[in-house]
Amino acid sequence: MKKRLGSFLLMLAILVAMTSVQARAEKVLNIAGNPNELGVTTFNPIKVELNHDAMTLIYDKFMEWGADGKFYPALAESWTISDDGLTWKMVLKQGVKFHDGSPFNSEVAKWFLEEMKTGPSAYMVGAIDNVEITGPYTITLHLKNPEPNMFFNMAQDFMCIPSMVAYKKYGEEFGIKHVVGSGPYKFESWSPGNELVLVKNADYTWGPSIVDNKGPARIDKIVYKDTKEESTRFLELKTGKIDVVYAVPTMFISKIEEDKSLRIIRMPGDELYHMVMNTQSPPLDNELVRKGIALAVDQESITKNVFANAGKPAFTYLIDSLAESKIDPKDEIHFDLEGAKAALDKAGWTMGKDGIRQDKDGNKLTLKMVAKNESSYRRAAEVIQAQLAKVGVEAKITLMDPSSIRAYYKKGEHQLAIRSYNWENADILEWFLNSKRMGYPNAAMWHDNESDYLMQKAMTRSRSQEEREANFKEYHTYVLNKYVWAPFYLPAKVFAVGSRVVLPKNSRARKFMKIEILDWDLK
Amino acid sequence: MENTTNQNQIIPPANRWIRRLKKLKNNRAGVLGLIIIAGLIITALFADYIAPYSYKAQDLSLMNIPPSMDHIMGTDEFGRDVFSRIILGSRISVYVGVVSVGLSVLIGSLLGALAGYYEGWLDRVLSTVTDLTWSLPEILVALLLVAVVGAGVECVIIAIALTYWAQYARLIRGQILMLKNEIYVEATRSLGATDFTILFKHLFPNAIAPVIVAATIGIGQAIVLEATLGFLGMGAQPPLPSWGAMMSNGTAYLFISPWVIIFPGLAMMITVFGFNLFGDVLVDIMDIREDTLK
Amino acid sequence: MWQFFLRRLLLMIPIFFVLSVIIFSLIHIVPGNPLDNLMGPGMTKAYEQEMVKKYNLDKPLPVQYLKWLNNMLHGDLGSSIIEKRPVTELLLHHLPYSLSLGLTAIALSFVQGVSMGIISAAAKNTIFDHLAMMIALFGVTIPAFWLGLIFILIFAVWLNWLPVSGSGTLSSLILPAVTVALGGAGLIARVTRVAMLEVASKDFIVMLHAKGLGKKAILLKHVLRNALIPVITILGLRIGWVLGGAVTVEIVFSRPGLGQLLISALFRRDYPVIQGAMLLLAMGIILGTFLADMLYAFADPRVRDQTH
Repeated sequence: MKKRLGSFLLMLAILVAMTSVQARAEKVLNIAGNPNELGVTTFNPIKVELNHDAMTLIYDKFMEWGADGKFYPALAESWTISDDGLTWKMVLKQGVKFHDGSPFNSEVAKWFLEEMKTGPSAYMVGAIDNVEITGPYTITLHLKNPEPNMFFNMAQDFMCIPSMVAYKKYGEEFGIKHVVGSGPYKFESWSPGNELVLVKNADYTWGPSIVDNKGPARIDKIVYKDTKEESTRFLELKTGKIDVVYAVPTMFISKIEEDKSLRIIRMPGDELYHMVMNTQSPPLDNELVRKGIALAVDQESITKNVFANAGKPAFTYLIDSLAESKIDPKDEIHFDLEGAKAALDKAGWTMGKDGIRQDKDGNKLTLKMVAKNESSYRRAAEVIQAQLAKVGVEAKITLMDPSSIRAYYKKGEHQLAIRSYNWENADILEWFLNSKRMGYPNAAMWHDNESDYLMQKAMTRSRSQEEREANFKEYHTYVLNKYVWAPFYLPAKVFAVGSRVVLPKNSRARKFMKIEILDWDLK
Repeated sequence: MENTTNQNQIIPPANRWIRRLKKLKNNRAGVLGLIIIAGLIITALFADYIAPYSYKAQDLSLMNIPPSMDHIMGTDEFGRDVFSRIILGSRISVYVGVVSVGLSVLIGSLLGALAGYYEGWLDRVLSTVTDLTWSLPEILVALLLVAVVGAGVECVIIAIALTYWAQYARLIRGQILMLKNEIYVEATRSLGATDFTILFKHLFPNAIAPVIVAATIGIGQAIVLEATLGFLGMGAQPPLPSWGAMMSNGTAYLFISPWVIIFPGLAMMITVFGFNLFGDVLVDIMDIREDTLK
Repeated sequence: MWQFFLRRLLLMIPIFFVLSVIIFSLIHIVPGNPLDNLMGPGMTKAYEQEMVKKYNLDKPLPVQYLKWLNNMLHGDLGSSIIEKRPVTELLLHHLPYSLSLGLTAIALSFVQGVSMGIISAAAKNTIFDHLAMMIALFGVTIPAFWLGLIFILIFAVWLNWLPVSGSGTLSSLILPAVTVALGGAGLIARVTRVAMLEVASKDFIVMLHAKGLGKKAILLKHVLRNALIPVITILGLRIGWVLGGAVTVEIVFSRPGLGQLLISALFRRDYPVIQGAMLLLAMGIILGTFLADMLYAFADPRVRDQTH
């Protein structure tokens, strides 16, 4: 009996000690990360394919992209670009140290830009011919062709700069067991499927100009928890076990908004839902038929009924936070029932007795539609199927897993495809509509010389950002008027934040958290 | 064991069936099973007349409405009547269940009979294959097969048939192995009957009873398997209302409109229950030992 | 005795090979390839070529198979094409979730199934018998994923008992285990009942009755012990089923088990992962069958003797 009491007291003492340590303790931010990032396999920025959000906390980049669309200096303190757009002189920030103590300088910058060419994101530095070291903290980039998109690339999460010393030292283990950057947080531990722990980098004083606090960060520790199940994530947010939830599903938004202590943060998304039309499969080779179908898609109704107004309807081929999406409204694709019917009539497809249009030979306007067998695609497909039926177009849906779909595109047998992409640069148009990429990714099978010419012009002959924007607008407008896609939905990025988190008052960042973590605090 | 088989040979087949029917009449569980199955078939045949609404007409102003007088089982994510969709869904379930099991019985009993009769290498190969397919979880086998054949009701039927044939082959092989050593087989052979006649005229009709029982229960299993595949996003394509697909689509709305999941599940449960009940009773009235079915 | 074990073990080897060939060919027939899932916007052809080379996807299938087999025999299952991590590591990460669910479910279904079987055999043809058999029948007929959803609905939504899903806590194991167990319990109950009734009609039991032993004692001590043999066999066979067949339950309760791993790998055509996971399952199944055989042999000496 005595023994038991003794051990009980001991346990109690330990417990008390533990809790008091915690009470005095550090500010720990608990995050339920993006479920899509559960597949993340490495934090090596050069080899990574799927990027974890924490990359931007562990590493610094050359530049940061603001919500205003401007680029702000980070590790690149300033830059000058020659008139022909071929020579970029960059001045690097001094006094920057990686977590292993090695310095950041022009040698590291040159090595990094060259090493990037060995990974999946090589195209980010594809325009760079060579990097010249002109001083301990100055480099000059010589480009093969003018590439104003370098700004965008350098601000991307893929262009995180690792420690050269650590990278060379750890080889294959870099990014998995050893992650060394120069960012405001250090990598502490990672057990995939469970959690990722980051601790504050106390030496950090070189925060980019886009944030107020230049460092070190105010929050001591950040824990990303790999909780997948939505209702668990929601419940832990309510009970305070989690402070931030990424990718809040539509059905929980209203429940969180009911709770006064919680906040919903909506950020512009980078995803666009659209229906691809196979422009080589009759009758979709007829522009008028495509127009009729595109106009029959009721974007507002889909946004409201399928996605519960969590995002916005889409009227162009690009996400609406891009300047290139701001084209003349008359070139946008808007739902227009009468317009759709008129276009189909004009194309020679008249309404049949069974409610399905026919051509003069009695062929029915029946099209094969494919979609991924995931909830949002299926639901969109079912609603669009019903909307097309209203103008006399019959769509037959087949749901497939993503691999089967791509194999199917390659065969070119599809006619309509419900898809989405995540990308925030106008160059995505090239990826999907370049005639050199028929089938997949060019599921529209779009082959048009004028289009290819405009694409080439925008991709390789823009000398400045302004010129690039104008060129892409021209290309974008052209393909919109050819009705290769029917755009319909722009999901917003929805985050939920718990009561302990103090968010910065005047956020200038384009993205949620990321480097702006420097301005965050916990109550 | 020998007793029952001998009995079977003495009584002419026709009389045997009459005796079995009489037995069925006195078995309440069997009658219940039969009623459920009959009800299902009638529903499937006359689905268009029974269903109060169109199974595919969307009305987005009536989304996720709880059961009411207008929609006794509520409406789904697109405002479609759940009851009408369940009625139409019975057609898919019956179609998939009957055709896939029919196919697998056909393949299985043919191969099984040949293996049992000739033994040798054919038997060894077949036994290995049946053991393998039998030991793997059927859902994984079916999943792999669906991925190979493609999506859609017909593909699911093929996948299910290929998943299930082995168990029937196993069954009939065992029966034939046992029966072919009977004296009357020897007698028929000495009278000059060919292998074909012996196998398909004499052995097969006597060996088929347990297969019929297994197939009855198998239809229920196939319906569940189709639903499971539908739940994983394979099977009947929208807007066709397969029960499994309905439940799969309903999961996103589990908290908002549970009726979309509850009712198709109940429908399926009753159906499968009916087939099992009837199958169990068949075991009794056909004088089959339960362990032949394992 | 040991000879018997050895023979059974050796017999497993050819089965294993046949299985690996079947699995390998099946997944490569499926249209689509893993690289398409890897290629994001902007990625170059050169990178794609590099990956094709790296994973031997340009080689003819038999060559790929032999390479894989060779590596496997050396204990290397390769690396996931999509996730880049070693397959062994992935399997080890997911296996505990499947094992804990599977073993709990098997234990539950054994307890529930056998007790229902006993009740029903002891009270043959009474209302209890019919009731137990009805429940057993329902257990077999209800699709597991539906039952899981209904459980979530009842316990998480209506009763607000949480967490019911996820993988961290013990309480998150209960509902999925019960869900999986119910299906198995039905089968076990029926087997137990039949076996018990059969044993009960055997001569030696009749003798025991004649000797005047108590009914209860005979039933539990002698009948049950002998009747458990087929039940154990069924259990051995169910191991594989529970490991891989619980995929829908894993999805419903978001448990990162083998089934989930396999299905996501299947959808993305991550060949090394599919092969590895299927093989692991197959091994589990073969092992389960083997164990069942062994137990059977121990319990019933006639089986051993026959094979000598």
